[in-house]
Amino acid sequence: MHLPDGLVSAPLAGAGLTVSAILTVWAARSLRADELPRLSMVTSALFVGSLFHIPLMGTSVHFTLVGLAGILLGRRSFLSVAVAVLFQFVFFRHGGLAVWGLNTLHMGLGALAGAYAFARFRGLGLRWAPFAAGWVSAVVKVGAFSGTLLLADFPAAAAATVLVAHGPVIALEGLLIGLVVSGLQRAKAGDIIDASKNR
Amino acid sequence: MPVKIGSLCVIVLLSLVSLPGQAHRMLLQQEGEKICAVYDDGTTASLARLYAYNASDVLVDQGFSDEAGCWVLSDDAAVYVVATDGLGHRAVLELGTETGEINRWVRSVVGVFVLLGLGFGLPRVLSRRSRLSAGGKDG
Repeated sequence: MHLPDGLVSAPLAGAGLTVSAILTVWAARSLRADELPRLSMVTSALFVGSLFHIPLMGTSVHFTLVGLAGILLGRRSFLSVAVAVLFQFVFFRHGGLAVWGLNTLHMGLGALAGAYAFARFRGLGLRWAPFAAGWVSAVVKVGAFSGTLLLADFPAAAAATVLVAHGPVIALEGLLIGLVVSGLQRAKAGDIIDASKNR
Repeated sequence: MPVKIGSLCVIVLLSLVSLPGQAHRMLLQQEGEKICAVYDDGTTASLARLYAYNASDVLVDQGFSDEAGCWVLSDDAAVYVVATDGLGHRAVLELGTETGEINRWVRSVVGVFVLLGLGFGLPRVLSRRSRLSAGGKDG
């Protein structure tokens, strides 16, 4: 799910960086100091979240938990994703520095889509709304990644294979996020979820 | 603070459960004449296409990995090999070099500590500074 350096052209990487920078500034606007602990906790979860992996069809796919970030942080999730992607590069050499913007954009859009979907489907209850948010976030994230592959002149078959290979992960990520949010509710930690509503 | 620290810990603990797994990146390993492409979670990259280049960056050999993710390099002039699986993973190996990496567990823990340190430490530093500057104005 992370593009490495050397696969996409400089203009495409630059465009990704520009859009990500704008969205990161928007996400960080009027950030208060008391939001930092929550932000760092969720960023830590994203940082290690990509270590869930599933070998599949000759390649390997993994969870990102960006939908969870969207549910818990709202628009701040884009800032959280930007930091997590940078840390994943620094600590795991996961992705690349030149394509940090593109990788942030793929996952950040997924997180924002998750936040939107969670608000939209909140009426379904805390069992199905997180699942829907996780599912939508994963679809947007994988769709953005596949779109970038197409823009980078990869064959359409490669983009389609990425979508197919991530199909089970999309479903599982929705399930995982549903379980996590239900678990938080059961642990009477619903304040974590509700606190994201005003952001 | 509106949110309980203890309940926030649930999120990180749930994620730390996954630490025995490993991060996801394609790597190339040299085993004699064989070049093997693997993902760093241990999965073999059986769909990889490998390209060998000489010192002048001229392509001298290419091929596909087998089921074990390996490919036999047949050109002695090659100095580095690039692998791609066509799905967004890419790796480069300079032949004859060995890469030593710090344990992934250690890196994960250090990364989490840095993030949490920033998240919990910065607000304290900022509030201390604002208290000091307020005290300075009063004095």
